[in-house]
Amino acid sequence: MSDRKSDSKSLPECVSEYVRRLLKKMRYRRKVRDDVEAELTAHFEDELKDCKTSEEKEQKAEQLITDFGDIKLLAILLRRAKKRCRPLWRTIIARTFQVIGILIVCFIFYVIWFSFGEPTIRVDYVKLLNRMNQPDIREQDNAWPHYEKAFELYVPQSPVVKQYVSYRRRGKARQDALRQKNLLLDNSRQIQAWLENNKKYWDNVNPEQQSVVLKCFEYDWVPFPKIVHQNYNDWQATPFDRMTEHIIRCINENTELTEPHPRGILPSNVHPEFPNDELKEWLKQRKIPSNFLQAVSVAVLHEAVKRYSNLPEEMRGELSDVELEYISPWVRQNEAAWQEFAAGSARSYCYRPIAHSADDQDKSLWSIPMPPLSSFRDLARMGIWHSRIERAEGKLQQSIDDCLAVARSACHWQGKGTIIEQLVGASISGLGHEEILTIMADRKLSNTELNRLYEQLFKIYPGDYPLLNMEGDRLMFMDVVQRSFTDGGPGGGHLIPGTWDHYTDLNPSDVDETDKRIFMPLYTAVSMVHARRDTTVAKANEIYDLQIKNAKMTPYQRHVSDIKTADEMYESLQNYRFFLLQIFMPATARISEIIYRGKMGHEATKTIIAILQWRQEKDQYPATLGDLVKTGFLEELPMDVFSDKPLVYKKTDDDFILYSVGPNFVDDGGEHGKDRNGNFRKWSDNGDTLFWPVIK
Amino acid sequence: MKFESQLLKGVAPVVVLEILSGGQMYGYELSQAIEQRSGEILTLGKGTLYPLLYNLEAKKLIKGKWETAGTGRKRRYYSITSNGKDELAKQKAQLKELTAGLNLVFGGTISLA
Repeated sequence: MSDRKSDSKSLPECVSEYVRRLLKKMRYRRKVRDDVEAELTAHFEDELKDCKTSEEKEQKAEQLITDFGDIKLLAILLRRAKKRCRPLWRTIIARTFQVIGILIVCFIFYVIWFSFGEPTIRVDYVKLLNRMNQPDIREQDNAWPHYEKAFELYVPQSPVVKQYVSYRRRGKARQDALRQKNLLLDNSRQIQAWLENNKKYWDNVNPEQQSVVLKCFEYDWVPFPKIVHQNYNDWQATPFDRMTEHIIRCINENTELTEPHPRGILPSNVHPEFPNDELKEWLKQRKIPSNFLQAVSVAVLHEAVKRYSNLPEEMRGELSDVELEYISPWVRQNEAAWQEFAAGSARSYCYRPIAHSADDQDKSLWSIPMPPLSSFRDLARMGIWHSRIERAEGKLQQSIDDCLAVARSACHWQGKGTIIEQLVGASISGLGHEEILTIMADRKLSNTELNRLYEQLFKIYPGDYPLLNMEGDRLMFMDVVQRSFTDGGPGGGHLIPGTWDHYTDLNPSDVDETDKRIFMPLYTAVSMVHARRDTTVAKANEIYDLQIKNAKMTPYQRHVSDIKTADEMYESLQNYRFFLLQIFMPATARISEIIYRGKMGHEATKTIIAILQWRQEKDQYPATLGDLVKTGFLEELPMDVFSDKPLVYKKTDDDFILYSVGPNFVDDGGEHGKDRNGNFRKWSDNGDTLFWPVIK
Repeated sequence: MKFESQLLKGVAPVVVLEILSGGQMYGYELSQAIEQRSGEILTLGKGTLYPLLYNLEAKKLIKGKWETAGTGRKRRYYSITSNGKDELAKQKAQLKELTAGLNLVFGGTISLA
């Protein structure tokens, strides 16, 4: 290109300036401009070559520039002409880039418009939900104030009590306790011998310090002074069970007793009543008992033997002395809380008005805190222990009443509110009913007691047992839609980036507002591909309607029908278009089944009472359940929701069995389901679920 | 004599093609040739010449290439293409018909060689 350039130095300045301005205004590719420059320069040179003087040259140059005409017009004409000269492929590329550029500009405008949408709050769903739940009753019939009071009065379990309480439930705590028990029994002879030899170390510790050490055990920690450069420096600790295992290992291996490795550090959130201050005082005053490791090990083994050796193997049944010793004080501490809870359970309705606090930024239904369901569940469980302690003290009627109170309290959370509340209700209902069955299995109730029990149970659910209610959740979802979509426009509105993220876990709570901006492109992209408001609401209603319809069908009816489940509908949804639905709508098939189990538990309990009443009156068990209905012992046959037939009832030699075929929908002849360890597991899909006899 | 620009604009491509049909030329040479051959009656403005050449090149009626002249200067020489020749023949035929029509109107005083 440069080789084509003519030497323009010989040209007058006005020509060079003219050409330069012309090329600048031409605004085209450099290569083309270079060509045009070379050609025009050559033209000017040819025109001016015959000029003798520089003045003549200047004059002619001015004339030529005038001949060339308006510089802007010429630049446009040259650009147009040169554009027409370019090859087709270059034109296609240029046009493609132009189109892409236009699309990008349009997209940027669209994104800006999209991002600045605002929701319009038209419906006060909080008010609507309150109106839906508020019964037309007197305030004194409302259980909520009693429950609130009970929450305030409730004293939580200490770690040791927690261990004992957990022991009577399936799970890791029970397995751990049983392992400890077996370890102590298997090594009892060696342990006794070792204790006799080392007892002196513990006896040498003064009583005040002994009580501090024992206090640490209550919180499941064994303390050790940390020694740095032969000086006590701080305290460290190890969990009680780990220390027990370590001592027994040392005894069996006949090795010198050492501190366990690795030693734990006392957690910072250790219980406020843990004797931290006393331990620190020992360090300050240099009053660590001599042979502390041996002394504390003696105390650990004594405590372990006391804790675990006499634990009963059965999960249900009478309490052992050691359980009573540890659990009774906690139950007594909670007497006032329990009385409030029981008073609440006797009320006909539980209405908890929901409202935002004044400083709540987010006024959505979603942001209203749930009722303290875990506290409620803790109180219900405590009620069961209250019942067991009453029973151990010979107060059978009070024990039954406690169970009835727990069962009654459950109905306050059933058939309304959110799914979580209803699940907690079903779980508490199960607790109460199972304990009633345990009482009937352990104690021979009189006909009067059975009659009263039946009447009380009947009163809990005088109508139908409450099934799953989805309306509360539907309102919550509609409120999320209202607050996350614009109102109006194509499709009824679009999802607004950044409005829904705090309802989901896409934006971790520890991300502050500044960092949140980092996620904004992601939110915008997700919002842009999401279905519009009308489609989202229509799909949500379709799923909710299906869930409500399916919730009325028993698990068996769903099993044998070809009906599409809501869960299948979720799976068929396109994740990116309906992710809000995927996040907010629960899979209700399983939840509905759990509710139905509660219904069966209630009906089975009433049936068993009726059978025992029959037995007391007629000195034999009825031949069929139909006999109970015919003779008025039972108002209707208990239905198995896993077979849509009555629960299976069979007389045995001196007892009877009553069971559901369970979630595998197959009658396994009353063989109960088992977990991986071969232990009884209710509602297992590898066997039946026995209501009677009560498995211990 | 100066012509109305619109009138000249219509015939300028044919004039350029006609002159280039005699052999390749560069811009300045071409503008000189037009003036000489038309007895200085047709004067193509300089600002019109180069856009016209580029347009004819875009239509593939002429083609340009850089060459070094005898004086050592680089010039862009334009020559007529076969498409250009066809177009020239077509345009000349149309002009003849136009001239014939005009002769009838003006009494046979216009002729096209």
